[in-house]
Amino acid sequence: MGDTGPIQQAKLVLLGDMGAGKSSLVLRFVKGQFFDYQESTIGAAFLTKTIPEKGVKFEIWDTAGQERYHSLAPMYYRGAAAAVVVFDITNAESFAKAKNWVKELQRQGNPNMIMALAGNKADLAAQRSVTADEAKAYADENSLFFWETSAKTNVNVAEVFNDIAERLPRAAAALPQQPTGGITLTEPAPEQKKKSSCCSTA
Amino acid sequence: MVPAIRAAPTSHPIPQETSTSPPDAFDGSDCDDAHLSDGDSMMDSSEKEAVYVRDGVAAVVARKDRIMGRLSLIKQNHVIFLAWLPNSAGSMLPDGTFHVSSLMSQLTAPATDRTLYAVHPIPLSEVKAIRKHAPSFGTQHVVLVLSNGLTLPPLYFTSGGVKGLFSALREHTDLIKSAEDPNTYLVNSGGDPMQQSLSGLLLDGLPPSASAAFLAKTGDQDGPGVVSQVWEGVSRMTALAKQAFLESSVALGQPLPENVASPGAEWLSSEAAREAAAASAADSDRLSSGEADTSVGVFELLDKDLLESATSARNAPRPPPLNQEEWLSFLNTEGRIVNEKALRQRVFYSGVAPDIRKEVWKFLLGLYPASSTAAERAEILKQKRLHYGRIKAQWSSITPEQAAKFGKWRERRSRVEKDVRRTDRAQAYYRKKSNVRQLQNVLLSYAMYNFDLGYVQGMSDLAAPLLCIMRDEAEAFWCFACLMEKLEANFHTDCRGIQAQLLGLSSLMSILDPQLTSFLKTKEATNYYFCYRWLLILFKREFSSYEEVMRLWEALWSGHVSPHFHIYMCAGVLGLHRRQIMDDNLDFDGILRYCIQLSGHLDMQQVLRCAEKLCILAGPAGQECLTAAGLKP
Ligand SMILES: Nc1nc2c(ncn2[C@@H]2O[C@H](COP(=O)(O)OP(=O)(O)OP(=O)(O)O)[C@@H](O)[C@H]2O)c(=O)[nH]1
Ligand SMILES: [Mg+2]
Repeated sequence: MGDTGPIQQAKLVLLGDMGAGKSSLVLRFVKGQFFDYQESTIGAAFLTKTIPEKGVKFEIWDTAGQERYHSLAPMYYRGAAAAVVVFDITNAESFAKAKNWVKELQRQGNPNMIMALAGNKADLAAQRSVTADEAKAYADENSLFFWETSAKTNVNVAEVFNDIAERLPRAAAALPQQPTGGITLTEPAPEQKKKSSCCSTA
Repeated sequence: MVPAIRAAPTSHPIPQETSTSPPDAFDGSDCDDAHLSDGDSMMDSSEKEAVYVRDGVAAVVARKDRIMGRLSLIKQNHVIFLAWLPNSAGSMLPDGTFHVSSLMSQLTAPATDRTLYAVHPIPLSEVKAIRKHAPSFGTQHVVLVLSNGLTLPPLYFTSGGVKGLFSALREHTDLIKSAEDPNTYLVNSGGDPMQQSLSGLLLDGLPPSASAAFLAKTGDQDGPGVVSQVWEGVSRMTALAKQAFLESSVALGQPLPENVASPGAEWLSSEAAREAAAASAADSDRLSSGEADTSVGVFELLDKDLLESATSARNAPRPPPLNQEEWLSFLNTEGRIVNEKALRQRVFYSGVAPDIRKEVWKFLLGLYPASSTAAERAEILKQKRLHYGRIKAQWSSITPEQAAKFGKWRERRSRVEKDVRRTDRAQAYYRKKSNVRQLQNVLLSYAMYNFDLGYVQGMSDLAAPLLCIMRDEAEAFWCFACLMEKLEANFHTDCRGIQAQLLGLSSLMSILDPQLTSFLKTKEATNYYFCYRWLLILFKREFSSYEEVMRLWEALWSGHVSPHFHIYMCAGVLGLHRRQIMDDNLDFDGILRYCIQLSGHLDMQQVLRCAEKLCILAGPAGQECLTAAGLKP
């Protein structure tokens, strides 16, 4: 469908514990690179990537993972169309933190936000401390996509983003999310009110 | 409330800057990187138009003193500014003829006073109320009250135009007739922009006290307090800035040289200025004396100045960094520093040669008191080494069994381990595993030493260059501990350290650059969160070379000019990129993105110079802004 249509911009945010591999996933997806010594993120990083086949340009906000900086997160996830919550499969604590992020997004994020859960560092399966079943069950309960990924060996990285791209509301549906220019159409509210009061008295 | 801006049906486009003017330093057009420069398109896209211009508007500053001038509303980058600027000796009529009104003959105010009373363009959002006086005989006049409570001198419309003013105002903002006085109109009463941004998510994570302080200090609130202090600052500031500008470029009454048209006359092209100058002597008089007055904020005034300093920073031969020989000349026979102030100044301007950093930094960071003798220092170091040994022993003696029962420590340790292995690994020094190990020891020791604070991301960035210079765990640890004395609040959970600095930056910017400030207000971006990383780790991530970072830190630690120099640096960086930010009409996300992407593209010398200029210009008013925000002088 509409492959040649206009490119739609989508704000996407990555959240998750420090060292889970958020920056690495983004770097793999956007630039096809991976660094063992990927530096920690302070504040946030910003990257973009267009998937022409899906007609989507992702504007990706990669946030800092440490709890201490949690209060800054709303600045990055507000208005986001999608979120990827990342944990490290070798670290149970990071899975617990991922659940907290999901909760927070469900409570405070954009209600139509598309969420994915990424169990990263799948290449380190030998040191796994979160099973795929456990994570999958949690994802299903909360209607999240779930992928086990490896930024290092490039497993399922593009899949996470493609999945999101496919679920993004198409241009028409996305329209109300666009910033409005300050002009709101006046609704015929008074008439409707009259009608409804008519009905209620009837 | 930010004025709702609609297209003005009767607007007079103002000629734009032409290529004959020098490139604007603040456009970042001399920035090396292509993706940031893009200079030409920026200039073209700058929208400026006068939506209302009236000559023959006199300010009555004392009972008899009337100064004739021009009242105008200027729309620039979606923000409406109101300005009243004095004529030097009369006023121009729209047809270009020169007119001396009857009032003009009474003009007695000396030239200096005339500029003193100028109302430099202020954003309409700063105007709280306007009162109209229409006596049945006599001249119509208006009085403007600003949101900070300041009342401007009455403006007399000697050749009419009050009606026009009101209709122009109505077009660009909400005017509401006051319930108490039918002649008073409230401007922008529709809502408090700070309230709006507060209701957003940004400040929600902050403790109530911090949000309240933020609101009280930056919100459009009445009464005394920071805002009015800041405004007093502005009047002092503009006078200062003007003086600096006049001294540096335009001598009063001189015909306007071609190449100086740009700084003051942002909305008066040099082309137009020259034409006008040729047209009549009176006109040229008006232009030259009015030059400084037509600018919008200090940044505009300084454009040329800053450009010059930026260029000279690159071209002029710079004094070499403080070297061993010179360093020794600052020490007396006992090894005490004899002229600390001169030393700090020297460090500020030229930095320290790499081979003596190890010694000099220990003074700069406060590990060694300046008054210490060589013998005392040796003793201090000995004690500190022992102390470090004890701290290190505390954590290195934790056995695996104990660690298994010590969750807090395990968590802390794992954070440090995660970060050190990816800190500055591109630096030659940290390619060596043993050095990474030492960095880990320093940070684990600190996490034990300051257990209440623990390890917070960003600390490894601060510690890594210190260890690289000290090449000694104990010394690096104590230098880091000294640095953390200054920066600890940055890392507190409640963000209070950063919050205070952002608040200080915000009021500083409101006096240094009202135009950018009002632009940011329209974007609900006056929380300045886009400067977060700069403040948190002292620009460490903004420069890719260690040498630049170290040079910058030395300047900061020298304490010369200001103990909060890094805040002026934030102002400087924003100033250097203000054009781009406004011309591209960036929203909050856009500015955040823009600032993130500045990393690796800043010219350290240029930023230092610019920040220094701003610091000097802001003077005590600048320090007041910071003090009011809770930052110690
Ligand atoms: N083995 C393996 N290591 C990975 C993978 N992804 C990331 N890493 C490593 O894990 C460390 C942390 O990765 P980052 O991408 O920086 O993690 P982050 O979530 O962005 O961390 P913060 O920015 O601190 O929040 C780095 O050393 C990466 O090289 C992966 O898929 N497999
Ligand atoms: Mg990261």
